[in-house]
Amino acid sequence: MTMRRPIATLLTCLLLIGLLPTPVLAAGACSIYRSWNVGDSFTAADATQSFVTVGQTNMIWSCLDDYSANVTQMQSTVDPYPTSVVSLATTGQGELERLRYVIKKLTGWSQWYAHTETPVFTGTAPDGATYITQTTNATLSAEQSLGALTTGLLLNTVTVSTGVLTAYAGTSCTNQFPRSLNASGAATCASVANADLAGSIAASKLVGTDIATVGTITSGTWTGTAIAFAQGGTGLTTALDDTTLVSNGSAWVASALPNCTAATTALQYATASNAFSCGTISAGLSAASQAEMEAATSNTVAATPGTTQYHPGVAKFWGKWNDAGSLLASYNITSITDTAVGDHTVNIGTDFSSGNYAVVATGGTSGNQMSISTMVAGTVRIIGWAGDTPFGLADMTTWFAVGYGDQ
Amino acid sequence: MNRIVTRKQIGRAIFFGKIIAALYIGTMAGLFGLPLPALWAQNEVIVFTRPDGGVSVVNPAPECLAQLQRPLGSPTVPGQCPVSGLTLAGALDWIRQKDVPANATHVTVRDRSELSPSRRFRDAWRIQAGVVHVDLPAARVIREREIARAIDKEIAASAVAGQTAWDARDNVTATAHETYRNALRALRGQLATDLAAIADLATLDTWTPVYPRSP
Repeated sequence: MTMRRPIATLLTCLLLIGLLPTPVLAAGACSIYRSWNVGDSFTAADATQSFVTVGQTNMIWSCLDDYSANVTQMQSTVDPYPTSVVSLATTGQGELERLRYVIKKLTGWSQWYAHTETPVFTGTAPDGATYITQTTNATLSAEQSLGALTTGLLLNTVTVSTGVLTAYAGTSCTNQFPRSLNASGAATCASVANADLAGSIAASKLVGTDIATVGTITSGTWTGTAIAFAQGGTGLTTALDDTTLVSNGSAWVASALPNCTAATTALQYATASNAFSCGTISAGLSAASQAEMEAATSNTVAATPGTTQYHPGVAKFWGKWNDAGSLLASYNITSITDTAVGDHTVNIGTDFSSGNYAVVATGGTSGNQMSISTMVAGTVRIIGWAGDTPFGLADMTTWFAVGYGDQ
Repeated sequence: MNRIVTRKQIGRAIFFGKIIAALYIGTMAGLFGLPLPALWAQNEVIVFTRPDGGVSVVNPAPECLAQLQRPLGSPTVPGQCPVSGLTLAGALDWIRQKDVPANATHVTVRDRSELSPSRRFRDAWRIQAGVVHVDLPAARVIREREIARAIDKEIAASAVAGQTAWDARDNVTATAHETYRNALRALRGQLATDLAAIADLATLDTWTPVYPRSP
């Protein structure tokens, strides 16, 4: 308890000491050098520093006080060039107000700071500049007026870096197209030539779905899809080996051909399935040989035109000729030899095998008679006799002879 | 009137006859599309002389000639001449080799128009210098035979009639027939002499003796 009292006394003294007035030094921009109390000493250094602070340190825009303390002052402007005479500012305020005036004048804003408004510039463009105008303006001295040109396309020509616009009517191409333009813009009309269409036409270039009329296609390679049956094609894109096209009634189908090369096979076709197959040929009669024809005994071979003459029952030669020996019709006779009146010889083409064969001869003269004389394998002599008495050789108006035998 | 036809005249007639025949056949062939070689070939004949002096005429069969002249390699027609590819001359030669006997002479191909169309003197044909002509002496023999045969027939008929008259006691008629027959025999005996006086074929062809009157 004894110790607490001195401590409290000490603290109170310190507090009182702190409450006593003491000189304060100012610090930072826009601050005064120091504040002064009565009884403070004022030295030369203090004086210097005070003026340095006032005249230099704090003499900057950020330490100067504002001018627009209210809206009126904010909106205050002064014309720096009234009636084209310079109005000199006498204060910084005056300078600001003159600048405000120019800003407001240039922008057309209601106030010099109202930048959210649309600026309205006033004044006139120079009259001597080269303008391109829609209509002719009498004020302008170097304009190019589009309204002064005729209707057409604009053609720009340049002379010494100066463009000059003129209008030209263009070129009308009837059922043709402008193939080229000359320097004056005039077109050369031309029809579409084959060379214009050379090369492939991309699918993207084909507009529409139908080709109504075509000409004659003289060359080229078809690389399209298969031509359908309904369009006159086969509808097929492959040609398989050993197949043939048959119709099933609605389309062409490739039907395979079997290999039927055997002597006893034959190609067969089934209409129901449109399929081919190999069938077996039933054994038939074969052609008779010469020996078989001459034997005349077989019932398993057939007589054919080429061997029929070898049958013993078939005439081996026959002929009809006149009295001079001229043949009117014959078979297997090479000639008739007219030896004398009533004496003719038949010369046989394919000889008999011997002189043993039969000849039937007759004549076309009533009452005359005929006889067979010399017979050898290749000839037979026929004699004509007068029918009256005495008998003598006599011609027939027509001679007939037929021979049977083995050749 | 007897008219003598010279060989020169005959040759000239044959020449013009061939031209006319050629024009006719050519025209017909053109109009009707007939195979000219075959048609023409029918006029070609092969003539030759036999050892006995007679003339034989080989008449080629048109069918055989046509076969022989078909293009080479043509199918053989059964019963026809088994060769093809020959010309007309070749075909005729092929037939000649086959049908003309080896002992034949004067073998030649002639046009039929050169041969006489008459068959009366056929056995008197002879070949001289490649031309067929009628041998007049041989023709006289033929004509004599013809007339003699007719006289013999008349004699035989008269003998029958005379016998019939004898059987009927008709002596007049029977005697007349005997006289008639004697006249015929005399006529027959005179034939050779009468025919020997004929110097051309035309006269020989038409000549007949003066027959006695039949009772």
